[in-house]
Amino acid sequence: MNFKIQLLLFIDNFLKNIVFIAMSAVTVIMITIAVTGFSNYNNLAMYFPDSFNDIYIYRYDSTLLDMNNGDGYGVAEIGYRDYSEIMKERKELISSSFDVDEICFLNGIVYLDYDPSGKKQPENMDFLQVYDYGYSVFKDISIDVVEGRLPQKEEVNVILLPSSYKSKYQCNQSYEFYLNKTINAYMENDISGPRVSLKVIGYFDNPFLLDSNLNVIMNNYVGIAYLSEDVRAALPGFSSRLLIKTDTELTENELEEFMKTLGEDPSNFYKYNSKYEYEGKEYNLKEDSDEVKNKALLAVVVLFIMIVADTYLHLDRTVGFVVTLMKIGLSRKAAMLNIIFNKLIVIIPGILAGTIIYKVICDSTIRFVSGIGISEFFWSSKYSAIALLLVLAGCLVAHIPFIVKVLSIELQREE
Amino acid sequence: MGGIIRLRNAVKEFNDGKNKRIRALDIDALEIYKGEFTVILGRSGSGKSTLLNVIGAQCDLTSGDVYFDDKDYRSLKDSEKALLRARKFGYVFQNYSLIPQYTVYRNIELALIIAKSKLSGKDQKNRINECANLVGIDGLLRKKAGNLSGGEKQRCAIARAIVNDPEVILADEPTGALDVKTGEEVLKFFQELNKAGKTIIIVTHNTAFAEYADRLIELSDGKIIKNEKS
Repeated sequence: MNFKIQLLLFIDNFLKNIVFIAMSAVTVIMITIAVTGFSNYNNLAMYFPDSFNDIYIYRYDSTLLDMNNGDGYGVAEIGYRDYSEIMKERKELISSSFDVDEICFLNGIVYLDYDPSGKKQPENMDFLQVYDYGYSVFKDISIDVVEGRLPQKEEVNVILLPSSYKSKYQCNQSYEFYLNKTINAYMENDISGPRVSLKVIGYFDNPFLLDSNLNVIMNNYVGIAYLSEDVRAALPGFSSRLLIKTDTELTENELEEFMKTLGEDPSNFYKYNSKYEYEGKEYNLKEDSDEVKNKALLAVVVLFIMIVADTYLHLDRTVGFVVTLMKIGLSRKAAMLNIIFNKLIVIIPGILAGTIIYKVICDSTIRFVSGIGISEFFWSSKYSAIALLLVLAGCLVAHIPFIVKVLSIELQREE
Repeated sequence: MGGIIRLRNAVKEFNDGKNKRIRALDIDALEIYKGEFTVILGRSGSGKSTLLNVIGAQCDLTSGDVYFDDKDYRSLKDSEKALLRARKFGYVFQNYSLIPQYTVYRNIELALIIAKSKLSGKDQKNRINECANLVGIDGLLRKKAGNLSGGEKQRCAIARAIVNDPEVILADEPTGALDVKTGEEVLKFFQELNKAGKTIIIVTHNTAFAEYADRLIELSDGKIIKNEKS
């Protein structure tokens, strides 16, 4: 690879390159938005099943939880209020709402051990939510443990619901490590209770991917996931703090019974329906999500067409350029690599730019600057990675005619 | 002492697109010596450009051997041949083969870049200026190649051809696109380069070139029909 030639090529195509960088960035943003549904929380619908057998219930107007809502407010809140009061308040609220044997707060981690339906009694049904942490929060865990109670079991099965940027790696490494460290630190302080070890039995990559994850992980459980404020805000009419996912086999009547066992009035709950009305306006979650999906697809198609068109429209000029370089001494292989690499160095910055823009706009800058390593940051953007691979694959496919042309060049024939 | 360039049983065939093979070159033996000013004459389709391309490692023989400084081209990898083209040969084409959107300076510099010149940045700049000065285009270095006249383009191509100080200059109809006066000027450049010790090989259909030649080769149907040292 001759980097001076790369530089010349890049400068030569500067304006075109800027367009490609922008297009790549837009594509990544669109794909990521479409998949994660971040920019428009109506996109949550895309994670909801089409089948009505899956029933979602939004608990109406609860004041249960008010922190760790996915945008770093939880962290901020600690600074404004006496944290022990918040924990106490939450504990009381949860205790009054659910028939819960054990409640333990670990700075927003809610440990619930209960059998709400009376039908499902999985063994060791422990449900621990870890919701939206930055490392800055972890620092405070040991304080919070004192405020709550540890589960009275030797081993607690943990399902983690980290925020979007928490990768599988982090779940297994950081969460488990920090939680165990916290628990054990607590034990070492000679506070009563058995020694507890946490065993991660599942994780959610993204708390907003509720359906796809809950379907799998909670198949045998009745579980609770807390909706963030942003999610609630984006679901007009559902000011719920709780999303309750029941087993798919529950009928509506069974569901009502289930509500009653929770001590809740079923009329306070909404059934999930892709179509709903709020303040006279009709919303259709499914259609909204389809629209975003379509936009993302369109962005990919447009970018792909641009790459293909660029390759074809400039094929003669590009080949002419390469042939000239080959005539004055560039090898065939080097010529091809230079041209293809030149395209990649245009598209990759676009993808990175798109990823960063997406993260900065859609995720919390507070959390981003508060301790997330850059490698984890990109690693966790798996949808961006998928977008990257798609665009790169498109780029390479689009260059097939160019590669074929250069491979078939006989320099003399070009005379 | 053997020639700097040697061909033996050199055959180059092309496919005419209808599964028919056309023999463009069929030379039993040819030697060109260092420092010679060689003119290859022949009508269109006689194989003279093919011969130049074979010598310049721009295309491979179908059969036979070609040597530069006793180095058999067949023993060279593609990248080695590319380096040979870049360092040992300076090529001048009838259609100039410049990058029109690049400046004259950049076009000349490209040859240095591709040859992986070991000159420092400052020395490269001096070398480019020196070559441009030699062919009289030092005032045009910042101009885009596409905006030059035919004569200026060919001078730029010559400057690019000599910037790596090659041993051999290969020119394919270098005056073909130029008027008579400009063509004569370009030929004089080649004469001067030859006097400076460069081996010059020019392909042309213009018989007037013969008077400049140390060696005159004439081709017809890919075969040498005349090979004279004047």
